[in-house]
Amino acid sequence: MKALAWHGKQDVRVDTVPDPRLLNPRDAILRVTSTAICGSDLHLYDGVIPGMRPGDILGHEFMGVVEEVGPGVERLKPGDRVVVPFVIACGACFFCREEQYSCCDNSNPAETQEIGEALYGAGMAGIFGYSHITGGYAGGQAEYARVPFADVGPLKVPDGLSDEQVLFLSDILPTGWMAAENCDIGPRDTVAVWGAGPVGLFSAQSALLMGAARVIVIDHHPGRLQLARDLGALTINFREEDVLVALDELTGGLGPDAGIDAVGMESHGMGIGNLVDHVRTTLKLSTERLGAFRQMVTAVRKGGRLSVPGVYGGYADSFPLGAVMQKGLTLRTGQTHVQKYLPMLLELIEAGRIDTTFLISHRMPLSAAPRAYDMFRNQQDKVRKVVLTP
Amino acid sequence: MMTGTGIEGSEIEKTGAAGPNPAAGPAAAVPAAQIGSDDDTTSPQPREGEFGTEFGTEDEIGIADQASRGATIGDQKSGETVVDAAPGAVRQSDSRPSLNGKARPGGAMVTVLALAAGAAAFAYGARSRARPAHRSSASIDPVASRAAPEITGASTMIAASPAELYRRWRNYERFEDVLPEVERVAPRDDDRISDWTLRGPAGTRHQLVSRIVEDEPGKRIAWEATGSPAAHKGEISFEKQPRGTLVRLQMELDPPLGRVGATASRLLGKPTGSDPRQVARKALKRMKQLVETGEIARSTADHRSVKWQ
Repeated sequence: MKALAWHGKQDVRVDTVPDPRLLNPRDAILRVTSTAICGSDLHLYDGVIPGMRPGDILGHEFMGVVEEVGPGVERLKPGDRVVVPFVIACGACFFCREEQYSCCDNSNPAETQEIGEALYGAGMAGIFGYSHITGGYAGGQAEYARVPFADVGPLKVPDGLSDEQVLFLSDILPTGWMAAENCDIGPRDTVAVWGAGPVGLFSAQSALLMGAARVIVIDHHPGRLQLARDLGALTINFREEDVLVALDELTGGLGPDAGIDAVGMESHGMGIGNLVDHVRTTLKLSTERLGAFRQMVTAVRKGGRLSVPGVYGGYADSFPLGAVMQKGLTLRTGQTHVQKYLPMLLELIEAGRIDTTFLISHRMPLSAAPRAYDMFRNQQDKVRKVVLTP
Repeated sequence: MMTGTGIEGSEIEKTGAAGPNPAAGPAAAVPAAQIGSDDDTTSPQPREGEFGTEFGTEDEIGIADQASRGATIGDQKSGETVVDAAPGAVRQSDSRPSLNGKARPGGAMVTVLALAAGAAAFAYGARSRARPAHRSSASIDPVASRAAPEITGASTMIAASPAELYRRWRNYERFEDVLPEVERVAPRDDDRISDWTLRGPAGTRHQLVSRIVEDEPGKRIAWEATGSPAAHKGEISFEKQPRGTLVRLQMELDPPLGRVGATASRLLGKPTGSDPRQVARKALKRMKQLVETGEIARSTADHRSVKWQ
């Protein structure tokens, strides 16, 4: 089959590789019909995530049609059309039973759990196409993909919905939703969102659906800020305005009730690669790398809530712990428990209350994926989301 | 019961720090310094051959090395057992069955774990784990002329009953999957005794005979394995807890050639095996996966044997 393989920093290629096959009883093989490039794929593209090997197949946002299932799969059969959560979850461990699917104990092979144990004190769950720290599973930017625990993750999609309407259930829509949920939004609340990328925009959309009185989105790409306004949010362009002053003015000096950091390490390159250097040499990480987060801590009102869907991998200097404590802030974060939110979000899509297709700016064949990565990385204002078709 | 003595010494060894730990008690000062300097000889090398294989480049091996060192911290946090046997002490040993002073028999699955770990210890462990022979009266195997044995192990929480876990272990269930280091286990007619074939470093094979010497259904299995080079004693216990069964695996490994062997192995260069503690931890993880999900997570895809365009 054809698949997008990582070969090194900013070197991805469409290779011909053997088709995946069932390795475990609860596996399914999927014929991929649509797959997207995620902002976090750019971390891999830029080579800031360790544990990648040349030949690794990328992609954790994908959907398709079930081709084959193992003997342990009861819920799916060949021909079913499904969207696949990016995080692999067994459904049986303590965490899965608590609906904390992204903390699954059993989906990452024992060998690759060791790295998480060392870095974070616990092994990570398996993730498709995302380095060997999270299992080294082949991703979905390919013609076919192997899906472990196929009766836990994949969600059957009704015929009436197009791929583009449901593809983002694989990651960014539930990630935005969980980010808003972590803000514990009340009806008079103002929620500020740092970053108008896909997750930031979906967070804003979710916060409005959850009844926030006002959502304020902060970014510097005019095109993305326009999308936020289209959703009904206010916007602040941090290249044109002082964000803290603007938020003060908008909230009468109180500050937003909750903040969402949908920027993460990407913007300034605080990758795990840097983390490892940090561990090794105890060198500092440059302080602006935590810029969005620190600004959020400063801006949010006393007793407010901080939600961090943005991806971080390592340590940070100048973490404003004093402000978090003195202002009595609550911090919630984590990889998304995708499986928990899928049925409810699918209902909202079916009911027409959530539309995610506005985000898609480019549709390209899988064979053009290397160019798509380059565009996505270098033209962020124009290239908002790329959907690839194998 | 554990004072700084043994543990501190072992910390120094594991983190590769040279020199005595200031927190170590007087009794540990000498061994700690010794271990520290021993480790200096080898510390630039990756500690786990497996990680080295897992990640191709030098740089990544460095990361893995970092990771394996850091794993020590993880262990402590998760309450896994890392024990320095010199004083015959086991961390958290108040609630833990101790190996000391008991005869050990071989359990099935467990034996596998221990055997493989033993084999690994042969290749790797001797390097820096030889202990000075000072020990408490509670120690086992007081053969004064040899280096002290090492007690090591791991623990995990599994969502199944102690009875079920005991049964799986006692029946040698899918041990080859749980412990890839083990090639074959063949129980004899008296299934308390079993013959083991281990995969050693560089394609070598080792034979062991394991004998269950204590068997408490639903609770604990202890064994004794004989054969070179991975002779050891071990035990596994199952304790009901609010969130499942706490499974503890402990092994006591004799440095195969004593301290002389340890030094020789260092001089001969890079160790080729893996850390027995890590072997035990990974084995318990695989067992947990098997019991809780019915399969063992694997991602090794055939896309590795790729024909690149």
